[in-house]
Amino acid sequence: MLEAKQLQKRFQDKTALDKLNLKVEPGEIYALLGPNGAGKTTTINLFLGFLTPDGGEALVDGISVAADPVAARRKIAYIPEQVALYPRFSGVENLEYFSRLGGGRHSRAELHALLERAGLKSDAAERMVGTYSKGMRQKVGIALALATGAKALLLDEPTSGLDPAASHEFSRLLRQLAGEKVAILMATHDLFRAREDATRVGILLKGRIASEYHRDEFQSRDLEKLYLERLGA
Amino acid sequence: MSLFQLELRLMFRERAVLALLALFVLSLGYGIANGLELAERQRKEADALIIESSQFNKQVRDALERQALDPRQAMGSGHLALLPPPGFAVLSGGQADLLPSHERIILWRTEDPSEGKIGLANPTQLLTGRFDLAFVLIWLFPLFLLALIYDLCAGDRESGTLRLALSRGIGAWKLLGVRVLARGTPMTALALGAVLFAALLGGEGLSLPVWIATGVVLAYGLFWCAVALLSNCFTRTAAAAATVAGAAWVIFVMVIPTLLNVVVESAHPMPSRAELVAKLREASGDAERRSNELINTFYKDHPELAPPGMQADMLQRRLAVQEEIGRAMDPIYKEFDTELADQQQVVERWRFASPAIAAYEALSDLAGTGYWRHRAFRDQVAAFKDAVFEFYSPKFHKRQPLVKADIPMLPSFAFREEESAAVQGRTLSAMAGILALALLCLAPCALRLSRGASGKLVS
Repeated sequence: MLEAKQLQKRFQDKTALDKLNLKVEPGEIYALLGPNGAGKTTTINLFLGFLTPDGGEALVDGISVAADPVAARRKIAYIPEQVALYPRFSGVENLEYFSRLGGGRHSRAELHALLERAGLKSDAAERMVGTYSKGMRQKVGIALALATGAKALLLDEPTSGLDPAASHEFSRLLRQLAGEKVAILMATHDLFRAREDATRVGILLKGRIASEYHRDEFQSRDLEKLYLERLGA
Repeated sequence: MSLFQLELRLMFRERAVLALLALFVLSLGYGIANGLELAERQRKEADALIIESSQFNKQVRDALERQALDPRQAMGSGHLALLPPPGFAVLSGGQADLLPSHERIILWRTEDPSEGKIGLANPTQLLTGRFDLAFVLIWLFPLFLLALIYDLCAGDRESGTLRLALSRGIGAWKLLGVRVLARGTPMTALALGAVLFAALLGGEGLSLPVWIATGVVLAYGLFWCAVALLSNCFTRTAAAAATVAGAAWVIFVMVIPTLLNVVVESAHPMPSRAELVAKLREASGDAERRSNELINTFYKDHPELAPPGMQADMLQRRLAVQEEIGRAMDPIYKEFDTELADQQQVVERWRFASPAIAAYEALSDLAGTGYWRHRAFRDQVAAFKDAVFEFYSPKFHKRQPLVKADIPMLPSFAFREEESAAVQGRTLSAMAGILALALLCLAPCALRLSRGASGKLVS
C-alpha cells in the first residue's frame, strides 16, 4: 500500500533520505523510529507529495506520488503531531470542511457518528475547536481518516503531548483502523506506543533503515534497548 | 454543503468581516448619495438654464413675429451652449466639478478665464477628488477586498492547517481558487450591486454602459484577487502577505497615479493661471487702446460690413476689440487645448500602468463625466461660437435689425453625443487591459501551484 523505492532526498549538502526502501502492507502498523533529523518527517512529506524526491519514488496504492500527488493524497489520511483545525469551527464543522476538501459528502448525522466512533461525543463535537485539547483534535483527525475511507494513514508524532489515557485511546483507534486493513505509517519517538501498537518497527538512521524488527522480535526483547544499541548510545 | 459555502461560513465566523462589510456598505451609500446630489444639482442647473434660455428665445421669436428687432436684444445675456447632464453622473463626478457644463456666447464680452479652461487638470488628479461612487470603487473597494482576501493560505501555513487541507487530496489551485472566490464574493457583490443600484436610482436604468461599468468593477476586483493570490503564493506568513497586499495597493492606487500625474504635468504643463490672466489683461488693454485703428482696419478689410460713413458705434468697436483679444489669446487657448490633449494622450498610453487609472478613466467615460465628452463639448462650443459670430457680426456692423425671416437662422446649440461605439471601445479595452494585468499576476501563481509543485506552499 505504502512503498518507498530507493527514495532519496537532499537538502542542500545534507542527505535526509538515502535510498530508503520501505513497504507498509494493508493492516500493518509500521513505526518509524529514529533520532531527530533521521528523516522520519521527510519520509512522511515525500509520501504526501509536499516534497519532491531527488531519486527513487514514493508509491501509494501503486500511484507514484511525484507523478500524481493529488490522486495519491486521496488515498491517504494524515495526522500530524498537532492536528491544526479551524478554531472558529466546531469539531463537526471541521470534519465536514476537511472531508469536503477530499471530495467527501456526509450528512450531519454521519459526521457525528464518525466523531463518536473516533471517541468524540456529540456535545463536544458541537463545541468550537478553540476549546479542544490536543487529544480531542487527534480524534477529529482519526474521524477524518474514517470519513474518507483512507487506505493508508500517515502519522507524524501522533502521541506526543497526549496524556496516557488519551494516548491509550488513540492506540485503540489505530488498532481498529489497522483491523480495517488500513496501512499505517507512524513516525514517532514514543517507544512505548510503538511496542504496544506496531506490527513492525524500523529504525531510521541517516536516511536509511538501519534495522527492522517484526512484532514478535521486539515483543520478546526490550525495544528501548534495541533502539539505543542501534543508535550506539 | 459545497466547499464554497463552507469557505463562506468560515469567513463569516470572524466578526470583523461583518463590520467590514457594514463599513463598505456605508461608504458605498455615502458615495451614491454624493453622486445623486451632484447629479441632481447638475440637472437643476441645466433645467434652470434651459427654461431661462427657452423663455428668452420664445420672447425673441414672438417679438420678431411682430416687428424687427435690434440684434443686441436678440443676443440678450448670450446664446446658451449647454452640455446636458449625463444620465449616469451618479457613478462618477469625473471632470464635472472642474469643467464648465455650459457657456454663454456673447460677442462683445471678454471671455473670463475663471469660467473654465484654466481650471482644467489632467484626469488622474481626480483620483484624489470627490467622494463619489467611483472614488469608493477605485480607492476603498480594493482595501476592503484585500482585508478579506490578503490571507488566503499564509496564515494557514503558519498554523499548519494548510498541510492538513492539502493532504486531503485537493489541488492547491482549487483550494485557493475556491477560497478567493468565496472570500471575494461578498465585497465584490456589494460593489457590483452598488453600481446597479446607483444606475437605477440615478435614472440611467440597466443600460449597456451600466453593464460595462459592472464589468470594469468586476475586472478591477479580479485584479486585486490576483494580487492576493500572488502575495500568498510567495510569502511565508500572513503578516508578510498583508504587507505585500498593502504595498500593492499603495503602489497601484496612490504612487503610480501620482507619478503619472507628475510626469504628465512636467511633460505637458498647462499655461499658468497668472500668465493667462496677465496675457488677457495685456491683450485687452492693447486692443482697447487701438480700438480706432482696429475698427478702421477691419472696415478696410471688410468694406461690405462698413456702416454708412464708416462711423463705428460703441458695439462695433467692442466687436473689433473682442476679435483682436481673441486673436491674441487664441494661441494660448490652443496651447491649453493641445497640452490637455497631450496630457490625456499620455494618460491613455500609460493607463495600464495601474488598473486604478484604467478603471477610473473607464468609469468616468461611462458616467459621461470624462475627458472625451467634455472635449466634444468644447469642440462643439467653439464651432457654435463661430456660427454665432457669422450670424450676428454682419448685422452688428451693418446695423441691420433682425426680422421675421431670420427666425429659422437664429443660432442655437444642441450637443451631439459621441458615438456610443467609441465609448464602448475605450471602456471595453480598459476592462480587457485590467483583466490582462490580473492574468499577468496569475502567471507566476500558476507556476508556483503547478501540479507537483503545490508542496512548496506548505514547506
